[in-house]
Amino acid sequence: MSVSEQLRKLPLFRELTPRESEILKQHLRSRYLEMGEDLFLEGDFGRSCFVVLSGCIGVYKDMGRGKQERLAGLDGGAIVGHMALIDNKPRSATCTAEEKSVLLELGRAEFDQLFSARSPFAFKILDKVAMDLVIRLRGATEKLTEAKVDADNADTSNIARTAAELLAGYDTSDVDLDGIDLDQITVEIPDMSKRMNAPRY
Amino acid sequence: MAHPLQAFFSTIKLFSTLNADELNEILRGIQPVQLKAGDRLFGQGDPGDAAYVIQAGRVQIFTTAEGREIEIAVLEAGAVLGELALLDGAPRSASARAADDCSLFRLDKSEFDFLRRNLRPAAYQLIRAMTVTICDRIRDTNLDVAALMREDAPAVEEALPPTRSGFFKRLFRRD
Repeated sequence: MSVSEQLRKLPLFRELTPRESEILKQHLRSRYLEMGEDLFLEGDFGRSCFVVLSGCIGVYKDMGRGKQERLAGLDGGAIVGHMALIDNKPRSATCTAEEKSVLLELGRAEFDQLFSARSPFAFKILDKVAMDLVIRLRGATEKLTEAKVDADNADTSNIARTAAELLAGYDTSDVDLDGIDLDQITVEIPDMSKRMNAPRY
Repeated sequence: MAHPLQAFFSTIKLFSTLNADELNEILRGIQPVQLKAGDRLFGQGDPGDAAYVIQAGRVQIFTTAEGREIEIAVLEAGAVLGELALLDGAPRSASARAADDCSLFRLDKSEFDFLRRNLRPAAYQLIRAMTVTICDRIRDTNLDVAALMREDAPAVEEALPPTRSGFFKRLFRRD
């Protein structure tokens, strides 16, 4: 199977014509990571976004005092790192290969070029990216409503859960909450507020 | 000829990246809506069939949970609301009603879908602007949740069993 055929199997690129997929291929670079190799680090400036082809990318957040919390594992078809290209804010988590992994990389310049092209091709990808973000926003809004209800009821166990979800879900998709032990989460507020009050573009 | 509302819409962030032709294409599909103070605009769970822009007056956004109303926001002139519906058409996650007498503009999802299906640059530019504001709102919403939890820290801590208070002390400490 050719690379462009492979691309069209990914949900993100499913709507592309064979020709569009050929063009996209020319903008993408393959990245091969060995187990344990970092894709990018929390706090980095975002230079590119990635689509996972094979393997597994672990998403880790620094919880302070050198403690790292694993938030998610991303495998084939997942997109990662695109928010930083859209809103120009630093990476909110560290991504590390947990096994030998193959990714496709789209650089910031190509990403910008693609999205300023006003072509049907750009439109189709943008549509998918926008839908991905809407889902994340709806999730965040739901959490806000829950937090308000819980605050009114002084329902502490739910607030604890919402807090954990907030920390875990901050800027990452496909977060696996089941693996997180609420009692084990430690976070320094100065660290968190520094992150959250990061300057707006 | 320029649409009479072009000047107003080009001051709104969501529409500010559209050029004159693109903006005109969107404006052709909008309708004015007048509301009296207290009138309902849409209710939680209603189909997401349109976005609105406030020209004058204020609109209150609220949800109803366990029989109580919880205010989420009060939006003022120039604000856009319900625009996520243009993308996914999902049911309204909150209710909206006029806090004052209001003048609004309504953009139907069906109008927008027509532009979107035909891959019109106007729809594309609007979606592009939306991705940026959505990223913004994701971060804002998370911030609000965090702030809310910090506000309630003393009450929360008091109600906590001793073994858990450490987590909240760290989480809510103000310094």
